[in-house]
Amino acid sequence: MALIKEKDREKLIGIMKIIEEDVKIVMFTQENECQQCQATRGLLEEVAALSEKVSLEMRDFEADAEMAKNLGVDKIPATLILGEKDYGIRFYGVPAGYEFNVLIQDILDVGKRSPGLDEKTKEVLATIQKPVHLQVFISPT
Amino acid sequence: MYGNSGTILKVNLSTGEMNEEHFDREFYLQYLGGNGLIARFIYDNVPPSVAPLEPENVIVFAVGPLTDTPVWGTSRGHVGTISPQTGLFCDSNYGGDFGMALKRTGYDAVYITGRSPKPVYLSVKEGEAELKDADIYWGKTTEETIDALEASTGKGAVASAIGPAGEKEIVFANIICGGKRRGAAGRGGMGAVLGSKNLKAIVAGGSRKTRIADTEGLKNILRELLPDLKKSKGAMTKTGTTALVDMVNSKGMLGTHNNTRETFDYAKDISGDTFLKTYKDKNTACHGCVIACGQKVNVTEGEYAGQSVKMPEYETLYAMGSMLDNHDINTIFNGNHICDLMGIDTISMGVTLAFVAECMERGIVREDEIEGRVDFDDGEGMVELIKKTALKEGIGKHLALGSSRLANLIGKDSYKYLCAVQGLECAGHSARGLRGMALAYSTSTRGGSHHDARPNYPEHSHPDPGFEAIPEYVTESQYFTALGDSLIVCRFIAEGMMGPSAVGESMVKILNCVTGWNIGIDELKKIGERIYNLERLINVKRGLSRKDDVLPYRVMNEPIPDGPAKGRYVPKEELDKMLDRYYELRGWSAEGIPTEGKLEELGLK
Amino acid sequence: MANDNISADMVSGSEFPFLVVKYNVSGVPHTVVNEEHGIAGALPEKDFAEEIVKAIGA
Repeated sequence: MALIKEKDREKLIGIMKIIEEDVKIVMFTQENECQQCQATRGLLEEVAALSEKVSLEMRDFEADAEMAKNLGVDKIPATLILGEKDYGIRFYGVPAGYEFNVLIQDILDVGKRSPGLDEKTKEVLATIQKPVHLQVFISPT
Repeated sequence: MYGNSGTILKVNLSTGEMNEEHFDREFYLQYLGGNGLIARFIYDNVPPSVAPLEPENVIVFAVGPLTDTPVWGTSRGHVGTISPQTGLFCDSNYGGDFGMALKRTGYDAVYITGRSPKPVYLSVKEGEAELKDADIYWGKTTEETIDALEASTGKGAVASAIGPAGEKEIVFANIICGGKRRGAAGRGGMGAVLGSKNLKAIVAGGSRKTRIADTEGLKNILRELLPDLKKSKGAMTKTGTTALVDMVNSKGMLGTHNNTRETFDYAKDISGDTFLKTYKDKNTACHGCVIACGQKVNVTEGEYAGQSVKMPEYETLYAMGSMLDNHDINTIFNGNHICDLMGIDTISMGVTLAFVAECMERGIVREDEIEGRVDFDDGEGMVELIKKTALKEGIGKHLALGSSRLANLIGKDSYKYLCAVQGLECAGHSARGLRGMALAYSTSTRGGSHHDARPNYPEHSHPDPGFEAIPEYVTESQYFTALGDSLIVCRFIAEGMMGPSAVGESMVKILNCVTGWNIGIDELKKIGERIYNLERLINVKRGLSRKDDVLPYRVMNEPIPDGPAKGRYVPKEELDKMLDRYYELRGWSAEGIPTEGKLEELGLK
Repeated sequence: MANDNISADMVSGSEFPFLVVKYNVSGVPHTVVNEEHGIAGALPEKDFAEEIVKAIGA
């Protein structure tokens, strides 16, 4: 059963046509998939099918522990959006509800290799010289 | 008026406005005082839409006609509100002398609503009251606050205060009440309600005497009853409630290892004899009491080594001792003292720790998830965890949620290990072993509490009495408690000379002597029934019904594995049968809702 | 993406309730910066960036 509704699928395919570069979605799950991991994987599989430029790579939190550690992934389900490099974009939990919009936007931004931010904002952010780890808490609606 | 004063003080913390309200003899004949007044005021003024930590919640401190009379155990007070721990009506009786001090101001109750814009304390004197700046006390322990306020207010003043835990609105924060033998309004997180109102403390003092209608008559009755009292409760002078540890354990009903067992191999190390032989310092007493059950102990190790602190009561020896497999008595002294200073309910604290310890043991919650670990048989670790909880630091933030909310976060099958009803952790009287407690915990208004229908070891422990006589017993015991909490008289005194567990002639006689009334047992019982129904109504309006009159999973599914009470538990059919009969006796519907007929009968329509 | 020093996690509160407790999250959205500082609510883009800079003690 499709998680993304048919008419939304059509819309999304159209939107994602603007993606110029390859986008790789990496998802960490585990062998005995919990309900959230299953739901996330299902959703991501459908998302990856929306554009030729978007691919999905599945990883195991235990079997690929080294990789998880290097990527700073400490909990699952974890979804990473990568371009030619890792921008540090992570989703923890099922990217449903409001998170889903952000997921698509992030794919678009990575696909355009541009964060789509205001000039002024970019100026402010450019001043940051040390590591910054942001965790944005949301509830799926 | 004899007994009651007829006047209450109303305080609105949002506006700073204060006024008096007067009630007549008729009103007191319906509600008596204490618990009765509180139930009436909360019912009338706090609609179900009001959340416990909102300014619109009301908290009421009340005293009764017997408060500050020659009757022993009448320096106590009562307080009630909507509990942030359970979301239901909650009331608590506390020892010490605050009740007496409040009575001497001439107010039968202090009714508090609203929220002060900045920390304040309330100073109540005869016919007057003032809200004063409490900035310098905010952040201080209950002891520092009570000592300072009593000293600055003057001779005879007694204060009740919250600690940092109440300020942080921890759902099981309590209120500590002053006096030589201090008391605690322990259960239900009422300290958090005061914290949410920015009310640090209340200090009361006056010289108004309670008028007694028949002083000679009262003197005679008390003289008559004293030998009974001494015989039944005299042992408490030596050991307080600590002797219960050994006794309860010998019956195989001492909750151990988060209630997975009910026999504690090291019970002796934390029981009355050990306390007497090695640690007892001296007695403390509520004003004028002949039993003087309060105890102080000399701590020999750890945080408060070298000091004399309050002896942990039986409940604390259960919650922080056997429930945690902890027989290091000094750690219980220290843990208990921290709870007193910071203003935390020891029962909820200990049982929450035991719950988390079992969940960790079973691997359903991890150290990295809750920022630390909780282990059984680690008294020193326990002391550190209590400190962290009071300050909501690290793992303390998680522990401060209490076991029921933690069970929701942990999910999986953690509900099986929860020892709580309606969010209130159960006390140290076995729901599986003592048939009475099974119905008591499930129907108590404030949740898993042992107070409304108290344990009855002589009749309900061995041989197994079964469930049949329990509904009658619990019904009578709940009236007895509601009345004791309204008169107000210490439960131990009431059991010793007015009970032991149902309303008798002596309670009526004493009340009539003081008030000049001429009521009989039936009328008095009716007052108890009225108060209990009012409490139930408050909860019913908040969504409570039969489906909530439940017991913990373990109690209903796992027989006690060993010891003298081996095999006992409470099968669902038995609880259902008891509830059917109990509702019938109460005149409630099969869903546990007071019927129209019953409410009319009680004048509650 | 704007700065290689910055990584951002979106965390679903309902799947990770202990983190909600750990970081005292009382409303959403809530942003935790370097496991220490909290920024409550949704801010305009530039303001948000400025709050982050402030939080890291620049």
